[in-house]
Amino acid sequence: MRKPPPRLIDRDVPIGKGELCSEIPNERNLHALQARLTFEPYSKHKWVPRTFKLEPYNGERRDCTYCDFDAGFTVENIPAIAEWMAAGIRAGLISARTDNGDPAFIWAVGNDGWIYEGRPTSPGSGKYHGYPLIPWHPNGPSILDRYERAAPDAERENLIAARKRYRGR
Amino acid sequence: MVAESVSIEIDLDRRSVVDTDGIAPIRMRVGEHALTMVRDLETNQPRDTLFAQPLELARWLASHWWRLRYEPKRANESRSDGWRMRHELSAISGDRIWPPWMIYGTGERVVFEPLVAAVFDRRFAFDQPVPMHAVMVSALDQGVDAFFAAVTAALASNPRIERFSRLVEQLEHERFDEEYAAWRRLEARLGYDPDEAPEVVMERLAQFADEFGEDAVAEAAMASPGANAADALEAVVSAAKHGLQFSLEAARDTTAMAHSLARPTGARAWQRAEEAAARVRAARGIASGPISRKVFAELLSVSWDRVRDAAQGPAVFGGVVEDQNAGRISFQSIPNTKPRRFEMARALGDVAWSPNALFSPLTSVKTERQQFQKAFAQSFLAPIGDVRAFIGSRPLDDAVIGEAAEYFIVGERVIRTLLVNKDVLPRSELARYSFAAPEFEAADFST
Repeated sequence: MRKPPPRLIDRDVPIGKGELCSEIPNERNLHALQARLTFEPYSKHKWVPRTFKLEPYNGERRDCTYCDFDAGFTVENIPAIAEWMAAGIRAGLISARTDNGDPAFIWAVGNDGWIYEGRPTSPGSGKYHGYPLIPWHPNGPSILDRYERAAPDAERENLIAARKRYRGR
Repeated sequence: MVAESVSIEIDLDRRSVVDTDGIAPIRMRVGEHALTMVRDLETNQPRDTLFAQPLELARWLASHWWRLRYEPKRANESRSDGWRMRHELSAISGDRIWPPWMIYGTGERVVFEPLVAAVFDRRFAFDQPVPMHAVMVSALDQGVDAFFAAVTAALASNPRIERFSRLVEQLEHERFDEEYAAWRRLEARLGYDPDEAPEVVMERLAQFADEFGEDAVAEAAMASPGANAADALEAVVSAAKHGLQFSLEAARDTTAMAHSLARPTGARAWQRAEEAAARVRAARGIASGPISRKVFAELLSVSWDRVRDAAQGPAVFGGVVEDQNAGRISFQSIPNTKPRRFEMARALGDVAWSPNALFSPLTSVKTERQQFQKAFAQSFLAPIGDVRAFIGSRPLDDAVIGEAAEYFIVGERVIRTLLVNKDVLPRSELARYSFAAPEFEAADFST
């Protein structure tokens, strides 16, 4: 038995690409991140984009998750997203991996019992779009664990339905 | 049913090229079963292809190749994020409905197991119930290698293909150099990604492999993965060296007619173990019904009193070492309990599996070797035909199962598990027991 040459360090290789950061940044950095990151809707993850006043997505989007179809997200929910996002960032729901200075992934727990995964729309701009995380995704339970530890009591109500949805196996 | 082929195709019949986002229809099959069976929302009809990025799937498979192929599912680990990210297809991306399948190794085979709760999601179109599949590792290799080649060809002009090709080249270098492959296998079995296992642990385990063989160390590593693996193995070996002595020669004689059944064939390890147990009983002239403690102990040239009273070893797993042609066993069970006899029967089964083993781990990991031991012990101590005859037409309640356990001198769980494995009792009967049990549960293998 002999140790092979080390694997090429290649950030494009998806080992743990969407995993939560192991060390949560300090409060000051989280506040700065919260102030800088913004949300914008994306037609790729809307089954009926025009309901959200979005032009239909041009590329192949079959088998994506859809905010409206899967999570029942409506245009009325849009104003709440900023607070869901802020609560997620305050709880440290960000990935270790970055993309042009922005977290490559952020997560928010909606009051509809869904976890929304956010990706930079244009890396480095601070603008994110989101989509419902598939309920059987391996990250679900640990995202909720971290959220529960950090969230104030009022926000913990969001967890009840989410815990049922993201049970692991 | 044992499915014997794996295929992963980029379905270019439906589209001439992979699109600019790298999306194409992917069809993943095990045998005749499409794992990528989703519901098309536009037509509301089942579709056996998933629209996703073939390169993402290929990179995930290549990155986790060693762990997918060699790392088993351990007690409760199917709930740990780290394990799930490396064994569940849905880890590839959270924004597509990657189908809910976990993939893990059991030794001879690789298992495709559905996430039961997820297959009922309205985005899927699986026929119910969705079965597990267990394929020979060579079938997985063929399917994955062909997929890698197809991805490389279909995405030849994609700037990201070069990185993928470099990863595959490195993986092939590791696979086809036996010394490198042995390192990567052990690393994966310990639950580490490539290059992540502590070298000091790997080096200590390599020394154990020199002494006891790679197979034995592999089973031990899987039973106690992580940074403490070498300590655990050392503790079990040390306890075994001071453990109860029995005659390996007698055990080899007893199981001689069953040795050929240990070799991989089309039959599952548990089927071979049942056959082995029946052959041993017949060859030793053991009548139907229970085996008395005295007769059982005599098969190993040891007195039952000594088996009953021997000290308990480390709880992490049990094991048998060869010591000057004698066997010495470290028991997991406490003295004077029914599992003790079961552990001895597992040790006998392992002699059938590997007559010349210098160290035989007895663990709770779901590998073919452990499966063989457990199924042998169950069928040797309580053959299903004899259990059925004992129960007769009586209702299968707790009292009758308790009586059967007393009659065959095994734990109630052995009887219950046998009856579940043979579809006499529903699988829910086993919910009362913990995962890491000495008995063999066919659900994990009877695909």
